[in-house]
Amino acid sequence: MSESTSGTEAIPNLWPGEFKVDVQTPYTILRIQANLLGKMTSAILVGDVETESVEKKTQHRLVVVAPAYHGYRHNLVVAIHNPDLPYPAEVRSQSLHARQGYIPIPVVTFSPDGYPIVNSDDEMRAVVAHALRSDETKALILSLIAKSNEAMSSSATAPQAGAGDSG
Amino acid sequence: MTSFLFWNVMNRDLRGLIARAVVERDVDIVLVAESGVPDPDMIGALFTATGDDYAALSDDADKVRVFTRLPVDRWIRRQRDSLSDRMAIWSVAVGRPPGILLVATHFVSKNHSSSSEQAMRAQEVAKEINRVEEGVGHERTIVVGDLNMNPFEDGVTGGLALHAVMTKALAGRVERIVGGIPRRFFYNPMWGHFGDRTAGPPGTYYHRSPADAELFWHMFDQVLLRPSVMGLLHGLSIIDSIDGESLLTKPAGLPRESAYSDHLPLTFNLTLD
Repeated sequence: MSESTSGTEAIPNLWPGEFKVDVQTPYTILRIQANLLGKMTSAILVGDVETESVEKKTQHRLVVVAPAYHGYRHNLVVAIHNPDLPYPAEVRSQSLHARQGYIPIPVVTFSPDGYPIVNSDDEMRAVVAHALRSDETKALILSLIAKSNEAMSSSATAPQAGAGDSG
Repeated sequence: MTSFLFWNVMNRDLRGLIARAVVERDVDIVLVAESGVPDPDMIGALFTATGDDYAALSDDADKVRVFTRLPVDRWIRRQRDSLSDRMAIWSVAVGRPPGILLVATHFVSKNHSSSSEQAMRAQEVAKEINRVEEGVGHERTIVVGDLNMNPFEDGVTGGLALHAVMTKALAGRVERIVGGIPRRFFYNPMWGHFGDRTAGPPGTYYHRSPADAELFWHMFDQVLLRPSVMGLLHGLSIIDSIDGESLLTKPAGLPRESAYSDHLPLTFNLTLD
């Protein structure tokens, strides 16, 4: 018994410091951003998160929807991970491709497709923030707001031309 | 009658041959995957051959280039994927209201993705189609493109994926419950074009590998139709010659990849009026 005790004391804690316990999944992080988009644009644009799964992979897509602009849908950010283990996750967005250069996490590993792989929710938040604040995303959001405004004003003044469905 | 032509031209400049096919078949909507020429050059070739003004509708990065002589204001883009640019969904006000939804797609090749990745991508495409159908309020949807999967693969047949079946009778059931959720069918007429007991080539793409199991002929290029429009399909064929020029080698009857493309074109008509 005493040998065991002294043996335990001799072995240091090998774990990496303390684990945070309020970890969020990629889905949760994208879902929160999707909800925020509607609030930030007075619901001119809304965000949605779509999920697809196969045997070894799950993907979550943050989709920007412009209801007034023919219900237009645009894939913005995609996170791909093992169905049982949300990290590591590959995060895809236009501004995150390796050819774009800077990725805001200290050690970056890229997938074969050239997108960063994140190992924690902190890293996930960092790269998603980078994608959402990128020039490409800003241009997209402004474009869709402008087109939505245009569609709303024209529908208020004239019957809609063009494709004849109800969307 | 609205006529369509789809061809994966393997990054070749086949504008002249495409234009001749358009004249020969009086094509209204031309879809080209792996186009080898800038859109303005394609439009020029179409105008020279037909005398008609064709418009290019695609974004810079779109993998499938779309050209049409239908008025541009009849087209509304419904969906865009800036990450892969492999899918585009349009509302097209053609024929009686509410027109159709046209999905142009070029799935990632088997050289760059596993079957499960292709299946996941197919789920994504199917879900985007469903969302757009819900948004526009109808299901008059046609999918055209190079799926890089055969009609019997999971990504095409799966209930969570494209859910495309081989007969009108099956598709006519409209939907079935998968995982507790109703999933709508597509009709996949390409099943009827496999092998050498039907008119036309045995498939749309030929590939020979040293693998133990090799189909040789594949049906990667497909048209899928929702039940509400499947009865409007006429004249679906895999093209093996254009204006008297054979797209097949002699005597083997394989795609003349060295001159044209490793894929053969598809053409079909929809009675939308």
